[in-house]
Amino acid sequence: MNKVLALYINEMTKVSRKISVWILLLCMALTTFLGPRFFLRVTDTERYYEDTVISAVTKPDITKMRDSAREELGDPNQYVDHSTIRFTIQNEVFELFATYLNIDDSAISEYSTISCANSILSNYNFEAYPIEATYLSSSAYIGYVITFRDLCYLNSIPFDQRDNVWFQNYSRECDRLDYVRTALFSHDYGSFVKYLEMDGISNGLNSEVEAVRILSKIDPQGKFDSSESNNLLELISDYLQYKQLLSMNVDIGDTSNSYIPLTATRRVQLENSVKILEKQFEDHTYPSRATTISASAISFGMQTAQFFLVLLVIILAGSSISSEMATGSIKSLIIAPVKRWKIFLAKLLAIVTWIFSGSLVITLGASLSMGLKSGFSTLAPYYYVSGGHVHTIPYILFALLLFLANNIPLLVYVLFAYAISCNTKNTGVAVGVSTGLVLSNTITQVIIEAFSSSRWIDFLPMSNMYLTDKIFPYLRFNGFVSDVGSVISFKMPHSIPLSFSVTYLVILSLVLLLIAYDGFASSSFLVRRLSPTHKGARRSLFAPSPVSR
Amino acid sequence: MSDTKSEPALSITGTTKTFGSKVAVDHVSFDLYPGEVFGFLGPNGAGKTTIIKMIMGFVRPDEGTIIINGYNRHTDYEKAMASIGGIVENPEMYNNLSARLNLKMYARLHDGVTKERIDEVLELVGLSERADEAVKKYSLGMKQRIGLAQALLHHPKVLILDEPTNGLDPAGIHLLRDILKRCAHEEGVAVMVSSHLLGEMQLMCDRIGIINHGKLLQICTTEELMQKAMKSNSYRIKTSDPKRAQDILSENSKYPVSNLSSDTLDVEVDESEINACVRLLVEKGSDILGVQKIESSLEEAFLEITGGGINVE
Repeated sequence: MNKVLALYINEMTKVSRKISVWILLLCMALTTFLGPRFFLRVTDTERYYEDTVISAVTKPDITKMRDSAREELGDPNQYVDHSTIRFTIQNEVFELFATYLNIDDSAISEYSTISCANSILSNYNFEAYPIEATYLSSSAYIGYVITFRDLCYLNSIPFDQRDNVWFQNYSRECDRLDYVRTALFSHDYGSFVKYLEMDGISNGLNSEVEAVRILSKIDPQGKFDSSESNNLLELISDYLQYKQLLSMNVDIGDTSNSYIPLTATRRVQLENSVKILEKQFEDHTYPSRATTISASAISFGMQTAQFFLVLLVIILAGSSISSEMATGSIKSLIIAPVKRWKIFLAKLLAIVTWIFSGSLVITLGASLSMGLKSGFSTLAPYYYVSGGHVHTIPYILFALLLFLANNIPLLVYVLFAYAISCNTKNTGVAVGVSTGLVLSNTITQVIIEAFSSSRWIDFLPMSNMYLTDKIFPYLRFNGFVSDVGSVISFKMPHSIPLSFSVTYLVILSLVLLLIAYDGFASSSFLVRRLSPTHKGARRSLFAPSPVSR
Repeated sequence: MSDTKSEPALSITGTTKTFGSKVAVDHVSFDLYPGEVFGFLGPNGAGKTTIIKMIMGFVRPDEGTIIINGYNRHTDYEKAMASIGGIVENPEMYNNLSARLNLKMYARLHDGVTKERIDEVLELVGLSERADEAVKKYSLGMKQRIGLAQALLHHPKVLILDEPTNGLDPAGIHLLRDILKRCAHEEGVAVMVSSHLLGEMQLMCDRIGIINHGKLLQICTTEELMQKAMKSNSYRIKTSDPKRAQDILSENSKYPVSNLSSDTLDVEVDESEINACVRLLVEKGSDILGVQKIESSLEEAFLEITGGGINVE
């Protein structure tokens, strides 16, 4: 083994003296460091939540809203059929314009706006809880406005049409207004949940109410802003979905509207997910919005930098044998007292080392970049379940493993390049064909999508390349998005078992290794001088036709 | 040779290599002994390089055994190869690295090569001062020198050099010759040198093996080869009418004539009889403008042994 080590050191010495290697490593480091920041700059991180983020509502806004409603409506009394009604909720007197004939919906909306605004302006503590600042205040504000308007509608029903149903609705809306009012004015989550519960019962939205209920437990003070809460609500809704799927013993099928029976593996995965989330909710270690954004930015940086890594190792693998043959420097290796398989192995080890070093540079670069930008606390550890308990992998180790998992296809491409290099002894062909193979990913993806219902596509190498989500099934709970591929692989529309993919890739790699070794060991190193007539000289699988010199 | 009774450092038996239908090396057997410089002589394409490549592990022989320093190269590869050093074709290094680093990397693959030894061989080949320059800046001659340094680095028992004088200046050739002789005669290394240049061989080698068409035709000491060459002396006679002179000599049929040109002809004749030969010509009326002894008849000895032809691939 000493000889392999010596050869390996030589190989590393040789490669590390190449300026192109350092240029590519520098490109990698720069891309991985600047990439995440670029991502943050060009990506509007608020965009994810824009549906639910309300625009800022301040005291002057509400005043303005009321005034413009008044202006539009003109004198309210013109519609009034001398029957402004007053109703009381918990000692507060509300004025509502109730019984009009021929009143239209927009007028009711204006009236409710005026009344609602008056109520908020006179009762709400804008200094303590700016309305847009937290999820609770902004949601309660919207709830208050809506409930207020609903009450106004109910009040627009003429007296003679008010039946029992009307009375039931009216009483319920009054209760709801009461709850949402307490939620808004006292910043009280409990009341808000009660308000939603009443809504939920009537609209069948139990899971959403349940989600907010869990949210209120995690954030009892109602301090989370909208995007943070929405981020958490997404996790909670996943959590609830997992529990539901488990209780129904089904899984979501290939299309999101179909259900399939739950497999044992998937059941374990769902149960573990539930466990992890419960622990995270309890410890407040769920991926915060900042963590999620960091993870996205880091993913972006890593994937962009991966391009350079692919380039580097394919060039190294494609040239490691053939360039030495071309320059003749392989001679000093052949003359040396080392067996050929040792040379072969040492070269391969050197390439693998570059994959690892590149991965380390990329992982550290991206993590450092986001750590400095958003704080190292946003770099969350990876959660997994083993033996019924939740464990964690420290962030940096996890990030490295994640990147290596993303680079599993790269190992296959490297072996491919190495095999071509050993057999054709032509760097250009080896690097070109291998790069072409990497680029053909996109085309293969289109083909696979076209034949996604056939099972033969499972046996294509490309179909088995993306293993990240199988190796790290709980990536989601670390802020990473797991349903995308990488630069060099893509996610299959349907899931292939990990064991199948791994077996497939191992066999494929062994075959490539054999082809590479066959090409290398059977080389007679006579190519450069003898006449081009000696075809039998090279008994390799992919021997090219001899070229006369 | 005085050393022939000792164990051979390199022993080749029945080695054969075919490329397709072409037999490149045909059952070649010979031994190489410690302390001798063995010349491998043959025209281009005779199989010299193929034999050397088989010894050095570039090409696997189809048949035959190669034993280096007592180890079978096939079964005991690393031990066998540890005792051998050499240059095949041109010495090729990692061009972007310095000579010293190249040697250092090569030394890693051998046991017991010290840093001092690297300095020593660099000094030996006269490259100490430029050892830290990248090899790509070297001339062909300097590359030959660094190749020689690499070959000598690990104190090999067998040193094999394939046309080592290629690209060397006269001083370099002289140095090489000295180094090789010192290695063989003082350190007891078995040295094997291939060449198609006879003159070089004559100056360098103790024994010479002649190869052509993949067959080892003859092994003899350099003295034997020289004697063979000296025996078959010929003279070039300058005359105004060579045709006439040829007729005169043919009639006599004692002196074989060759290489007729417009004003000269070559006669194969012993030194003792050249006087009689010239007298005969003068007596028969041929005008003699000059008589010159042809010195370079080592080539002829060589051609005679190889069957008279230079084969081209």
